[in-house]
Amino acid sequence: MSKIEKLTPQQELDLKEYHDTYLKFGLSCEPADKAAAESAFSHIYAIHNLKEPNIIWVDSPMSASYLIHACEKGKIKNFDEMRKLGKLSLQELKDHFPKNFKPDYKSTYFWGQQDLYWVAFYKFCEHIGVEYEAEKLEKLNLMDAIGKSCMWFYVFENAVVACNRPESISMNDRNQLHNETGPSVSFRDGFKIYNINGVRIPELVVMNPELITVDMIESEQNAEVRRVMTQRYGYERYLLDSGAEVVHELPENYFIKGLQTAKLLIKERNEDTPVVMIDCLNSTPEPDGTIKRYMIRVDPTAYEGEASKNVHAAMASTWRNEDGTLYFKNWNEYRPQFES
Amino acid sequence: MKKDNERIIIRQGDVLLVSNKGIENTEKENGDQHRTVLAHGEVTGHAHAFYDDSATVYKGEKIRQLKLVTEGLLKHEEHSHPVVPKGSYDLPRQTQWTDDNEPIKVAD
Repeated sequence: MSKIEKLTPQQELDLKEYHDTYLKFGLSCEPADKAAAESAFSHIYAIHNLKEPNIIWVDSPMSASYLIHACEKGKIKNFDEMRKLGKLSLQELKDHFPKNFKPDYKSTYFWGQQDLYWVAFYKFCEHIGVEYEAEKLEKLNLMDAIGKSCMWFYVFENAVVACNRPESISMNDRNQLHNETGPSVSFRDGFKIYNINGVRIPELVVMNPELITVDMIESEQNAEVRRVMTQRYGYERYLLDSGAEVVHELPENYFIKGLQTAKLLIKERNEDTPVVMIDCLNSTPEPDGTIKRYMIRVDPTAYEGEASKNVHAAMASTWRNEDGTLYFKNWNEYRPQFES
Repeated sequence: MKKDNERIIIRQGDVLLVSNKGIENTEKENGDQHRTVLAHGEVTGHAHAFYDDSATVYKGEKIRQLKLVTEGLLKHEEHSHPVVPKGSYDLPRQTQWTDDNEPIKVAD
């Protein structure tokens, strides 16, 4: 077989079709195709000379974790009981066991529909002429069939615990799990996970952001989660409530109207860059004559760090070229003669 | 309008006009029918705009630019309206810093 350097126009079209088809299955929220999955599980056990497995369906990896842990602890007598428990909601399952029964979250090497990213790669290569050994192709086709049928599955010598597909998946325009008002993924047994821009976060951060406190933010160990919590709390509130330090303040008669009484606030964060914000007056009064203040976060490193010491430099650093670089070579070039 | 080292700088909210030595960009932005919009408010629907045909905005990889063939009134629903002298201007964007260590556009 010779190496090819580029795809034909038809292969380019086919690639797009493969991509779309596999992505559709990968993100499918349809109920599992249990018959197709069970057939593939049986086939896998047969080619490994293992007995036909008992198949137990659950609605989420969390329910699977409960059942597997219960088996390991000898709390389930037989597969019939396991199947029965597998039909319960997650809450019912939790209520079934004593309160101190808390299973570890069980991962698996087999991700079903989430394995399709690599299955798609090998299936497309097969489509354009790559030849595989028969045994490997058979296994690839089984992973393909399972991926198009269900989600994660856990294999044991005489049993498979298989997960239904999720009920809903929510993502942002960068295809990251994301939902600001509800779960990013929800399962049919009531198990839900929450993400903001791909960062998995506790339910409270999404569903009850009003309960977030400065203490909660500062005690959160994960920097990504802490950032999301800070965003949900509001940077402005966080700076004020956390006792951010005013490092520079301009007088009421400063020659740039929009910077009169402006303050530069810095809040140091553990193992993270400090948040630096300008707090300044709107140049245009409100209809009732009052003047609102507003805050804008700045790059503390701009103008060789001057933006984290001097509020004028900080404001100058907010003006950028299209490529995001600083517009003013020196911060003191920012001297508007008119502001509104 | 006072000049500072011959450079005119006019700010209206998140729009800044900085006089330059001439237009370097060639590709015009598609304007609305009756106005030339410098920036749209994403949540408010308000716009910083010139409501005559004296203004042209040019796209640029480095910087957007504005050409005014006569002086013009820069209008906005919530700001006072400066008279902008005829000439050419750079239109830097106002940004805010993010946790991704990159600037994002400030919405007006």
